[in-house]
Amino acid sequence: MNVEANSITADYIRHLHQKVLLFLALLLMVLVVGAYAITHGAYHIALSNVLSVLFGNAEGASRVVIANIRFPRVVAAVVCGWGLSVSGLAIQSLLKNPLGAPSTLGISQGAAFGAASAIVVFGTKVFSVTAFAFAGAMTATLVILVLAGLKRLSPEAIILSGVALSSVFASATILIQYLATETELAMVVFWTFGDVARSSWREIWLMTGAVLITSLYLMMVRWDLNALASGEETAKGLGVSVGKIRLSGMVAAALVSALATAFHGVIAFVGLIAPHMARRLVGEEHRLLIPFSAVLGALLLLSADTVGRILIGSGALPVGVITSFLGAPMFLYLLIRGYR
Amino acid sequence: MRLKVADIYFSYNSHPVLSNVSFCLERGQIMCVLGVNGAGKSTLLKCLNRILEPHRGTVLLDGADLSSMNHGRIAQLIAYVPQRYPESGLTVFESVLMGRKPHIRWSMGGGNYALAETIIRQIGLEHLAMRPISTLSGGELQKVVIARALAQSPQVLLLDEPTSNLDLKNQLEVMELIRKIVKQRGLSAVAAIHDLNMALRFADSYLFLKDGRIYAVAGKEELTAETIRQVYGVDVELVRIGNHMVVVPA
Repeated sequence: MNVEANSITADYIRHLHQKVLLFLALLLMVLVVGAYAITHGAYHIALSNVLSVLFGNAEGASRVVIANIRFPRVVAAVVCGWGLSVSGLAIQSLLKNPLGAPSTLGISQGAAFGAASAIVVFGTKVFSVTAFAFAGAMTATLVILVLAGLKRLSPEAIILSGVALSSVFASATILIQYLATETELAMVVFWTFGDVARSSWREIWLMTGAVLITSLYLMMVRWDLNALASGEETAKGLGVSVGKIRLSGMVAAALVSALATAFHGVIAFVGLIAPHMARRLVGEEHRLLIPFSAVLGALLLLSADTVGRILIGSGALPVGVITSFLGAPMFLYLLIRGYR
Repeated sequence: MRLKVADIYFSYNSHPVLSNVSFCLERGQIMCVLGVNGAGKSTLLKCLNRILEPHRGTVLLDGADLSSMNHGRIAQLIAYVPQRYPESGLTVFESVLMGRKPHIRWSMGGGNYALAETIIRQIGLEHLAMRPISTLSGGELQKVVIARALAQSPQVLLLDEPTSNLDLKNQLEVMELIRKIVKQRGLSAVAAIHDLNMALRFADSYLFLKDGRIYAVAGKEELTAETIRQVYGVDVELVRIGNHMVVVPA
């Protein structure tokens, strides 16, 4: 493209290039924190050892620690943070609600309830737990969609509905716990701690697939999301099928939240905070906002998990506790500041 | 005939908002839709590009029936400027670029950047191009929304209260801009408007809505104080001052 050096287009392309550099820098930070997380902990491993385990065929204790414990944990944190953040962004953009996120609308709690009922009814088969978590997440999503669409509720009213839904699901989960045997009860309670350390490779791959598909879908409709940011009527006037995109986007977001919750429990607020951090950096343009939300979500959850594992805890502090401590003040800040 | 609207009927929850609305509009013409609050002005505009689906009636653009087109195709032909435009974190350039959305499939190529830039310069927004629109004044924002609509390269412009939030200077600037563009590009514009004097100054014809029906369609010469009196329920006089007719409440 031939662009004059002092034109608006040239300014804009320069602006895009700067953001791409910033994105690469954030990606590098994910790698650095990831490397730190793999090498540090109760059992210290040199970085060279890590590389020979990952790319070579080293044996011994460090192989066990890296391949079976730390590496999956790091990858799970990255994928889960990315997925929750992108879901949160989708919810915020599609419902035009800055307080929207899987955990604030009751979607995560719905998934947790689904997972809990599956554990008690079917035992711990991965697919039934996942399917039930998805059903729970979708139930919450549909209720929110109906309220947002048919009743045209305000952002505050939607969040209040989310609070109501969350408490219904929480009570239902307690009821299930009451009916459960001791082993099941322990499992269900364990579930409610958000923790990225418990997933196997198969679950991580499944999650990665869902997160990738959702992210690609959102990138495909990025201009529709930009249009929606300028109001529903503007979007319709630009030829966007608002209802269709809202439904498919919310289903995708619910699927990712459901998988994240089924595999890792409720990890609150990542889906709320990370997209807002991304907005601070790149504005409202979804072409940039989607990749930035992804990388910031990954960085946030990985950092929180690493801090919880190495600096604070005995190695087992669930990351959900840390994200809640980070997220609740952010939620209050958004409420107090008012939203655009 | 550019735009031909025949027998539009629309109701909200079986409460009729528009009945039997029909009119025609030529190239290079601005028609103002006038009437009291709730007369159905905004609803009529939204029925024209099927943001709302009219229950009956046809809209023909150069002889082509809009009901046989998908929304993407309609957006290539008709641009809509809503009454309220929410603030967002998009920049001016990004907002204008968004107008190219109906014309792209996957990627915003260089041609779209160039077109957005041309329109921004034409409207005189170049010094604001990289500013988030949430930091603009009402007048600047309205110009951005009009620039976005022009980036759609439409044949028809629908404007819902284009001057309602603006001071006098900006009202005149925005309306002058719309008139210039409509004449230059041979567009047809339909504008719902409250300010009768703005309408008298800039429109080529007037469509008066009363209770969802057409009370009168009039050209500049045919407009009478009696029509305004009947539609608004206010006693008025039409007075000529210099080159302009003005409405003065009696």
